[in-house]
Amino acid sequence: MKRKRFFIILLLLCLRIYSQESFYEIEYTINLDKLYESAKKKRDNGNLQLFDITAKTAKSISLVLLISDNISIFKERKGIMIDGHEGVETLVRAYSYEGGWMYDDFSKKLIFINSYQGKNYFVDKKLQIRNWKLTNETKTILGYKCNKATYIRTDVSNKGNNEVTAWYTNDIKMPFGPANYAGQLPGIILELDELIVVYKATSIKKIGKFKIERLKEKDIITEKQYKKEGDKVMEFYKKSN
Amino acid sequence: MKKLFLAVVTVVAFSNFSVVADEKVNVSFSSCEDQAFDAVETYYDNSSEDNGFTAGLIFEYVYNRCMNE
Repeated sequence: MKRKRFFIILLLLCLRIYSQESFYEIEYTINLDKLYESAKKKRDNGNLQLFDITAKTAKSISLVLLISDNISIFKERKGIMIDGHEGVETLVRAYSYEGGWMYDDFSKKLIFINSYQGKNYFVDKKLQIRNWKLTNETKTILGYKCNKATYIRTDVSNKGNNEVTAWYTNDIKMPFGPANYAGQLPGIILELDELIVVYKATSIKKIGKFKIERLKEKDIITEKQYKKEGDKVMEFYKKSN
Repeated sequence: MKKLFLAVVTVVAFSNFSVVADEKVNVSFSSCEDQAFDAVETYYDNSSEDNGFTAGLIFEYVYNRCMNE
Protein backbone atom coordinates (compact mmCIF):
# COMPACT_ATOMS: atom_id res chain seq x y z
CA MET A 1 0.00 0.00 0.00
CA LYS A 2 2.80 2.39 1.02
CA ARG A 3 4.74 1.51 -2.11
CA LYS A 4 1.66 2.19 -4.25
CA ARG A 5 1.19 5.60 -2.63
CA PHE A 6 4.89 6.37 -3.21
CA PHE A 7 4.60 5.60 -6.91
CA ILE A 8 1.49 7.72 -7.25
CA ILE A 9 3.28 10.68 -5.60
CA LEU A 10 6.33 10.08 -7.81
CA LEU A 11 4.11 10.00 -10.90
CA LEU A 12 2.41 13.25 -9.91
CA LEU A 13 5.81 14.88 -9.32
CA CYS A 14 7.01 13.74 -12.75
CA LEU A 15 3.88 15.13 -14.36
CA ARG A 16 4.42 18.43 -12.57
CA ILE A 17 8.05 18.65 -13.71
CA TYR A 18 6.98 17.77 -17.26
CA SER A 19 4.24 20.39 -17.27
CA GLN A 20 6.66 23.07 -15.99
CA GLU A 21 8.68 22.58 -19.15
CA SER A 22 5.72 23.04 -21.49
CA PHE A 23 5.83 26.78 -22.03
CA TYR A 24 6.81 27.93 -25.48
CA GLU A 25 6.80 31.01 -27.66
CA ILE A 26 7.06 30.24 -31.37
CA GLU A 27 7.31 33.02 -33.87
CA TYR A 28 6.08 32.63 -37.45
CA THR A 29 6.42 34.64 -40.64
CA ILE A 30 3.75 34.69 -43.26
CA ASN A 31 4.12 34.54 -47.03
CA LEU A 32 1.26 35.53 -49.34
CA ASP A 33 3.14 35.64 -52.65
CA LYS A 34 0.73 33.09 -54.08
CA LEU A 35 -2.15 35.56 -53.60
CA TYR A 36 -0.68 37.69 -56.39
CA GLU A 37 -0.17 34.58 -58.54
CA SER A 38 -3.79 33.54 -57.99
CA ALA A 39 -5.06 36.95 -59.21
CA LYS A 40 -2.77 36.68 -62.24
CA LYS A 41 -4.13 33.22 -63.03
CA LYS A 42 -7.71 34.47 -62.72
CA ARG A 43 -6.87 37.54 -64.83
CA ASP A 44 -8.13 39.67 -61.98
CA ASN A 45 -6.13 42.66 -63.24
CA GLY A 46 -7.97 45.12 -61.00
CA ASN A 47 -6.50 43.52 -57.88
CA LEU A 48 -3.00 42.66 -59.15
CA GLN A 49 -1.31 45.77 -57.76
CA LEU A 50 -3.22 45.58 -54.48
CA PHE A 51 -2.37 41.90 -53.95
CA ASP A 52 1.29 42.68 -54.70
CA ILE A 53 1.24 45.30 -51.91
CA THR A 54 -0.62 42.84 -49.65
CA ALA A 55 2.06 40.17 -50.23
CA LYS A 56 4.82 42.70 -49.48
CA THR A 57 3.04 43.85 -46.31
CA ALA A 58 2.62 40.23 -45.17
CA LYS A 59 6.42 39.90 -45.00
CA SER A 60 6.55 42.54 -42.26
CA ILE A 61 3.93 40.89 -40.07
CA SER A 62 5.03 38.58 -37.31
CA LEU A 63 2.76 36.01 -35.69
CA VAL A 64 3.22 34.20 -32.43
CA LEU A 65 2.07 30.86 -31.02
CA LEU A 66 2.07 30.88 -27.22
CA ILE A 67 1.81 27.54 -25.46
CA SER A 68 1.03 27.12 -21.80
CA ASP A 69 0.64 23.44 -20.92
CA ASN A 70 -2.54 22.27 -22.65
CA ILE A 71 -3.57 25.60 -24.13
CA SER A 72 -2.23 27.53 -27.10
CA ILE A 73 -3.05 30.92 -28.53
CA PHE A 74 -2.07 32.05 -32.03
CA LYS A 75 -2.09 35.78 -32.63
CA GLU A 76 -0.30 38.60 -34.39
CA ARG A 77 2.42 40.85 -33.14
CA LYS A 78 2.19 44.40 -34.38
CA GLY A 79 3.13 44.59 -38.04
CA ILE A 80 5.14 47.29 -39.75
CA MET A 81 3.21 48.94 -42.54
CA ILE A 82 4.54 50.13 -45.89
CA ASP A 83 4.33 53.94 -45.98
CA GLY A 84 1.16 55.21 -47.60
CA HIS A 85 -0.58 51.84 -47.52
CA GLU A 86 -1.78 51.70 -43.92
CA GLY A 87 -4.63 49.31 -43.58
CA VAL A 88 -3.38 46.64 -46.00
CA GLU A 89 -2.85 44.43 -42.95
CA THR A 90 -6.65 43.99 -43.05
CA LEU A 91 -6.19 42.05 -46.28
CA VAL A 92 -3.16 40.10 -45.00
CA ARG A 93 -5.27 38.92 -42.06
CA ALA A 94 -8.34 38.24 -44.21
CA TYR A 95 -6.49 36.03 -46.69
CA SER A 96 -4.66 34.01 -44.05
CA TYR A 97 -5.31 33.49 -40.31
CA GLU A 98 -8.41 35.80 -40.18
CA GLY A 99 -8.08 36.45 -36.43
CA GLY A 100 -6.78 34.87 -33.22
CA TRP A 101 -7.02 31.15 -32.46
CA MET A 102 -7.14 29.51 -29.07
CA TYR A 103 -6.96 25.76 -28.57
CA ASP A 104 -7.50 23.82 -25.37
CA ASP A 105 -6.12 20.32 -25.83
CA PHE A 106 -7.69 19.17 -22.56
CA SER A 107 -11.27 19.87 -23.69
CA LYS A 108 -10.36 19.66 -27.44
CA LYS A 109 -11.96 23.05 -27.93
CA LEU A 110 -10.88 25.36 -30.78
CA ILE A 111 -11.97 28.97 -30.40
CA PHE A 112 -11.74 31.61 -33.12
CA ILE A 113 -11.28 35.17 -31.85
CA ASN A 114 -12.35 38.10 -34.00
CA SER A 115 -13.47 41.66 -33.52
CA TYR A 116 -15.68 43.74 -35.77
CA GLN A 117 -16.62 47.37 -35.18
CA GLY A 118 -15.45 47.18 -31.57
CA LYS A 119 -17.31 43.99 -30.72
CA ASN A 120 -15.36 40.84 -29.78
CA TYR A 121 -16.46 37.44 -30.96
CA PHE A 122 -15.32 34.14 -29.43
CA VAL A 123 -16.51 31.34 -31.67
CA ASP A 124 -16.60 27.63 -30.87
CA LYS A 125 -15.19 26.12 -34.07
CA LYS A 126 -15.89 22.46 -33.23
CA LEU A 127 -12.52 20.81 -33.85
CA GLN A 128 -12.52 18.70 -36.99
CA ILE A 129 -9.70 16.22 -37.35
CA ARG A 130 -8.61 16.32 -40.96
CA ASN A 131 -7.74 13.24 -42.91
CA TRP A 132 -3.95 13.65 -42.75
CA LYS A 133 -1.59 11.43 -44.66
CA LEU A 134 1.60 11.07 -42.60
CA THR A 135 4.72 10.49 -44.66
CA ASN A 136 8.30 9.44 -43.92
CA GLU A 137 9.68 12.52 -45.67
CA THR A 138 11.72 14.67 -43.29
CA LYS A 139 13.51 18.01 -43.15
CA THR A 140 15.11 20.07 -40.42
CA ILE A 141 13.57 23.38 -39.33
CA LEU A 142 15.38 25.48 -36.70
CA GLY A 143 17.30 22.37 -35.61
CA TYR A 144 14.15 20.26 -35.17
CA LYS A 145 13.60 17.18 -37.29
CA CYS A 146 10.21 17.55 -38.97
CA ASN A 147 7.95 15.07 -40.73
CA LYS A 148 5.75 15.90 -43.68
CA ALA A 149 1.97 15.41 -43.53
CA THR A 150 -0.57 16.28 -46.22
CA TYR A 151 -4.31 16.41 -46.59
CA ILE A 152 -6.75 17.46 -49.29
CA ARG A 153 -8.79 20.50 -48.36
CA THR A 154 -12.10 21.47 -49.87
CA ASP A 155 -12.60 25.22 -50.07
CA VAL A 156 -15.78 27.24 -49.63
CA SER A 157 -16.28 27.86 -53.35
CA ASN A 158 -15.67 24.14 -53.92
CA LYS A 159 -13.78 24.82 -57.13
CA GLY A 160 -11.44 21.92 -56.52
CA ASN A 161 -9.50 20.06 -53.90
CA ASN A 162 -6.27 21.55 -52.73
CA GLU A 163 -3.38 19.90 -50.98
CA VAL A 164 -2.18 21.35 -47.68
CA THR A 165 1.30 20.43 -46.46
CA ALA A 166 2.40 20.57 -42.82
CA TRP A 167 5.85 19.95 -41.37
CA TYR A 168 5.55 18.94 -37.72
CA THR A 169 8.14 17.91 -35.18
CA ASN A 170 7.92 14.93 -32.88
CA ASP A 171 10.69 16.55 -30.80
CA ILE A 172 7.98 18.70 -29.21
CA LYS A 173 5.07 16.35 -28.86
CA MET A 174 2.29 18.87 -28.55
CA PRO A 175 -0.63 19.12 -31.01
CA PHE A 176 -0.36 22.84 -31.71
CA GLY A 177 0.17 24.89 -34.85
CA PRO A 178 -0.58 28.15 -36.65
CA ALA A 179 -4.13 29.47 -37.27
CA ASN A 180 -6.79 26.75 -37.10
CA TYR A 181 -4.23 23.95 -37.39
CA ALA A 182 -4.27 23.02 -33.71
CA GLY A 183 -5.31 19.60 -32.48
CA GLN A 184 -4.31 18.02 -35.78
CA LEU A 185 -0.89 16.38 -35.66
CA PRO A 186 1.17 14.69 -32.91
CA GLY A 187 3.86 17.41 -32.83
CA ILE A 188 4.05 21.16 -33.25
CA ILE A 189 3.65 22.37 -36.85
CA LEU A 190 6.67 24.48 -37.78
CA GLU A 191 5.78 25.03 -41.43
CA LEU A 192 2.40 25.04 -43.10
CA ASP A 193 1.74 25.47 -46.80
CA GLU A 194 -1.89 26.22 -47.58
CA LEU A 195 -3.10 27.23 -51.00
CA ILE A 196 -2.08 30.90 -51.00
CA VAL A 197 -0.44 31.26 -47.59
CA VAL A 198 2.73 29.77 -46.09
CA TYR A 199 3.56 29.99 -42.37
CA LYS A 200 7.17 29.40 -41.32
CA ALA A 201 8.50 29.25 -37.77
CA THR A 202 11.43 31.61 -37.32
CA SER A 203 12.17 31.06 -33.64
CA ILE A 204 11.26 28.61 -30.89
CA LYS A 205 11.77 29.73 -27.32
CA LYS A 206 11.15 27.85 -24.11
CA ILE A 207 9.83 30.47 -21.74
CA GLY A 208 8.94 30.83 -18.07
CA LYS A 209 5.65 29.70 -16.63
CA PHE A 210 2.64 31.81 -17.63
CA LYS A 211 -1.08 31.25 -17.77
CA ILE A 212 -3.52 31.58 -20.65
CA GLU A 213 -6.90 32.33 -19.14
CA ARG A 214 -9.65 30.02 -20.32
CA LEU A 215 -12.64 31.86 -21.78
CA LYS A 216 -15.93 31.90 -19.95
CA GLU A 217 -18.56 29.66 -21.50
CA LYS A 218 -21.10 32.50 -21.52
CA ASP A 219 -18.79 34.55 -23.79
CA ILE A 220 -18.48 31.82 -26.43
CA ILE A 221 -20.94 31.71 -29.31
CA THR A 222 -21.66 28.88 -31.73
CA GLU A 223 -20.41 28.83 -35.29
CA LYS A 224 -24.02 29.04 -36.49
CA GLN A 225 -24.64 32.26 -34.49
CA TYR A 226 -21.39 33.75 -35.81
CA LYS A 227 -22.17 32.84 -39.40
CA LYS A 228 -25.62 34.40 -39.10
CA GLU A 229 -24.07 37.69 -37.90
CA GLY A 230 -21.35 37.53 -40.59
CA ASP A 231 -23.81 36.87 -43.38
CA LYS A 232 -25.68 40.03 -42.34
CA VAL A 233 -22.43 42.02 -42.80
CA MET A 234 -21.85 40.67 -46.32
CA GLU A 235 -25.53 41.18 -47.22
CA PHE A 236 -25.21 44.80 -46.13
CA TYR A 237 -22.35 45.38 -48.57
CA LYS A 238 -24.14 43.56 -51.38
CA LYS A 239 -27.26 45.71 -50.91
CA SER A 240 -25.50 49.03 -50.40
CA ASN A 241 -23.40 48.79 -53.59
CA MET B 1 -23.34 88.66 -80.64
CA LYS B 2 -19.86 87.73 -79.45
CA LYS B 3 -21.16 87.52 -75.87
CA LEU B 4 -24.05 85.30 -76.93
CA PHE B 5 -21.65 82.97 -78.78
CA LEU B 6 -19.42 82.70 -75.70
CA ALA B 7 -22.42 81.99 -73.49
CA VAL B 8 -23.60 79.18 -75.84
CA VAL B 9 -20.10 77.67 -76.01
CA THR B 10 -19.81 77.80 -72.22
CA VAL B 11 -23.20 76.13 -71.69
CA VAL B 12 -22.42 73.41 -74.27
CA ALA B 13 -18.95 72.84 -72.78
CA PHE B 14 -20.29 72.55 -69.24
CA SER B 15 -23.16 70.27 -70.26
CA ASN B 16 -20.66 67.99 -72.10
CA PHE B 17 -18.34 68.09 -69.11
CA SER B 18 -21.10 66.98 -66.75
CA VAL B 19 -22.02 64.07 -69.08
CA VAL B 20 -18.36 62.98 -69.20
CA ALA B 21 -18.09 63.36 -65.42
CA ASP B 22 -21.28 61.33 -64.85
CA GLU B 23 -20.03 58.58 -67.15
CA LYS B 24 -16.68 58.56 -65.41
CA VAL B 25 -18.33 58.23 -61.99
CA ASN B 26 -20.57 55.41 -63.25
CA VAL B 27 -17.69 53.49 -64.82
CA SER B 28 -15.54 53.96 -61.74
CA PHE B 29 -18.36 52.89 -59.39
CA SER B 30 -19.05 49.75 -61.37
CA SER B 31 -15.41 48.72 -61.80
CA CYS B 32 -14.68 49.29 -58.10
CA GLU B 33 -17.63 47.08 -57.22
CA ASP B 34 -16.37 44.38 -59.60
CA GLN B 35 -12.88 44.67 -58.17
CA ALA B 36 -14.20 44.28 -54.63
CA PHE B 37 -16.31 41.25 -55.55
CA ASP B 38 -13.31 39.69 -57.35
CA ALA B 39 -11.29 40.13 -54.15
CA VAL B 40 -14.08 38.45 -52.14
CA GLU B 41 -14.18 35.61 -54.67
CA THR B 42 -10.44 35.11 -54.20
CA TYR B 43 -11.08 34.73 -50.46
CA TYR B 44 -13.77 32.07 -51.00
CA ASP B 45 -11.59 30.25 -53.56
CA ASN B 46 -8.78 29.93 -51.07
CA SER B 47 -10.45 29.51 -47.71
CA SER B 48 -12.00 26.65 -45.84
CA GLU B 49 -13.76 29.20 -43.64
CA ASP B 50 -17.08 30.77 -44.66
CA ASN B 51 -16.73 34.01 -42.75
CA GLY B 52 -19.07 36.84 -43.76
CA PHE B 53 -17.18 39.29 -41.54
CA THR B 54 -13.94 38.60 -43.43
CA ALA B 55 -15.67 38.76 -46.80
CA GLY B 56 -17.32 42.05 -45.73
CA LEU B 57 -14.00 43.51 -44.59
CA ILE B 58 -12.33 42.58 -47.88
CA PHE B 59 -15.18 44.12 -49.86
CA GLU B 60 -15.18 47.32 -47.79
CA TYR B 61 -11.41 47.77 -47.94
CA VAL B 62 -10.97 47.06 -51.67
CA TYR B 63 -14.03 49.11 -52.68
CA ASN B 64 -13.10 52.17 -50.60
CA ARG B 65 -9.48 52.05 -51.69
CA CYS B 66 -10.50 51.81 -55.36
CA MET B 67 -12.95 54.72 -55.02
CA ASN B 68 -10.31 56.90 -53.35
CA GLU B 69 -7.66 56.27 -56.01
